[in-house]
Amino acid sequence: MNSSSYESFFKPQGIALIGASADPYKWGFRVLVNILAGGFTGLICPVNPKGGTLLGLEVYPSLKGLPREVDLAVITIPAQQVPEALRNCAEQGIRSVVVISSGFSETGPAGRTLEDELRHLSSQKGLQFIGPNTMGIFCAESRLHALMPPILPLFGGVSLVSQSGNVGVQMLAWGKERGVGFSKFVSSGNEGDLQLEDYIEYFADDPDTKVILAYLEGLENGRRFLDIARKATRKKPLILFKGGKTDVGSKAAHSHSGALAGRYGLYQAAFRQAGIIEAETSDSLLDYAAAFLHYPLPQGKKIAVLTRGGGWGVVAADACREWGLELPALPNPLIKKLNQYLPPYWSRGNPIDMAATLNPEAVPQCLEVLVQEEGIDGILALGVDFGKRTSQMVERLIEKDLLRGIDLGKKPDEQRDIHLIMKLMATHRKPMVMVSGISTATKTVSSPHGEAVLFPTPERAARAMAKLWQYSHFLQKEALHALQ
Amino acid sequence: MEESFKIIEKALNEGRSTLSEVESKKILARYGIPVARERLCHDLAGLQTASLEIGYPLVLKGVSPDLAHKTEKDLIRLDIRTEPEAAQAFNSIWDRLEGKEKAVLVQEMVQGKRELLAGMTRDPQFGPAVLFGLGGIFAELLEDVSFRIAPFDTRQAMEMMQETKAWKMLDGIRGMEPVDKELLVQILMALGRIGLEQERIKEIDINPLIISGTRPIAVDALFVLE
Repeated sequence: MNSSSYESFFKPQGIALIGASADPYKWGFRVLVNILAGGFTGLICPVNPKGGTLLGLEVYPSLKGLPREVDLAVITIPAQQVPEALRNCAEQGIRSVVVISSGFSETGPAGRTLEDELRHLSSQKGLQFIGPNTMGIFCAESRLHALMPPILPLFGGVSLVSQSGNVGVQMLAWGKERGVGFSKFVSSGNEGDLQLEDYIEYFADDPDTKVILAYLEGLENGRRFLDIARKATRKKPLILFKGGKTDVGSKAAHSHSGALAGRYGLYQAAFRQAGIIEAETSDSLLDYAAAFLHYPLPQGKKIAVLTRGGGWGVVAADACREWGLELPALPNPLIKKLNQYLPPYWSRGNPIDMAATLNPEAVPQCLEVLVQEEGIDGILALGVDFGKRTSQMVERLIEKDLLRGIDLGKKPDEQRDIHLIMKLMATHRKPMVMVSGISTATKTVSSPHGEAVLFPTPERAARAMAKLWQYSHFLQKEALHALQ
Repeated sequence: MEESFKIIEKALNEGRSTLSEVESKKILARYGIPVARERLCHDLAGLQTASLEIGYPLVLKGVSPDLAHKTEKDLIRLDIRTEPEAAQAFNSIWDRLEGKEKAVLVQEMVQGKRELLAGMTRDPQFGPAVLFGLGGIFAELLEDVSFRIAPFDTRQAMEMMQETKAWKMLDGIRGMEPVDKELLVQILMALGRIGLEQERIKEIDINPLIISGTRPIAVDALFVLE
């Protein structure tokens, strides 16, 4: 499967919607609405034997007479009618098909037979299809929203393939909340033709995809998946969430080896070998995507934690260590530099606890010094949006008219620390992972130097940093190995 | 590879689903994996010859083609140091064995406190995968193992060992010598090769792989056939 054969899926010139309907309770209506709402840049041709017009578009009674540009068919008609539709597509020269219709192998043996017929037909006629039983596909570059659920994802650099429609769509929805944008999304459905690894292969070579995400439940061909994944991870991060961790079948094993492998499955080994980053939980999948999109990779695992108060520093340190990162002791020259900016009773340790200093310059000064320190590969900066709480307090004081005659000085810029961190990262290319003191969800904040990703807790920041290091380490080992 | 193939073919033709300990170790030896010195014997005369050849201390094991895990059937006698002990052990094992093809395996007693598990399993998804970890009778309970899917390189073999807790006992600790890790790597690579080359082998257990001095030695092995 080469990338040119996927262009018509993600960037079609024209779409035939087979099963377009005026009935708002049919998918043939909902999908059309979503395509229109999304602002698709190409031709949209609803197809329905009744003809007429629909939502301002001419409805074609059949595929004959469709404009030549139409190169993608999206099908929502009942399963039984789909084989015929595929034949018609082939006759029309439409080689790419998205079969949204359900009622195939997911329903049992009869459905499986029908699906086999689709596969047989498509291979005979030189077609490719996504699905069946897919929730659809999305592409930012072409504004294509051939999706069942109403969702307008944020545009960005993540491409996601999901073996579950609803898990995939949830990721798109969360992405909106967290500022994680998508380039492409495909719900792979029953994978009657194209398989999960086919999409990964495409995303690996796609210049618009910066990070590949996948939700996986099962594989038809594990070795093929591994080969493709290995090639992909050399180019860009591949983050994967496996559903059904404990679904490994009860293989009758006679040996310890067989029994042990059967218990855990070999997925984790496979992922590790291929350089895949595994997301342990659903929420971490997007956390990691955000981290890989917007933070540089660390060249080592030595982390400095900068905190306003001791307690959160301890929590952060625990989390770092749990995830395999190190908090090095601070060398004397570094301590001397930091002494200038911190209260005399500061601990001189790592985490660097600013001990409730009211010096507004302490944070920027410490950050500048820490990021330039050779023995430090990355920084965890806690409470970077602390300024916002001060502002809220000041606003209340003003409301209550309590500030008569008091000059609080210049109003501090709430985003100052964030902007500074973004600038320092752009210059020094070290990850300075930020933790918010306010929000309860991962979020993205715009800054002059790019998108700033803030995690809601030190634990989530630490694990994101650990994954950045895991991938960096993998790339380092690959590079070393290539030299030998 | 040819000879290994023959051993497997013979077993399959006889309708067996496993190889005997002796057959299993023959294949391991063919692939360069260090195995304990051993001889099969069927009577006291054979026992004497074997004992002289291998030297005390010895281990005696009852073997029969369909046995999988021996400790459950009381067919092993360890630390045999003299001829009379050997004879007594032989007789008591012989009496407990059934079947026409029974024999007693006389084996050098490999001394070492550290026991590892190395193996191979043929996964329907991923094909042959090699495993490494803590061995001994509690191997399955302790579950300290790591896997790699074949083929893999020496770097991956080293890394998979480092993922286990057992790795820590491979250094020179508590007066024991450091283990030859390169040799362990070669053993894991060999298991991968067996998995890729011998398609009729479904599972392999080398348990225990005893560290004697610096050397890992396969003391017992089980090959399950497809």
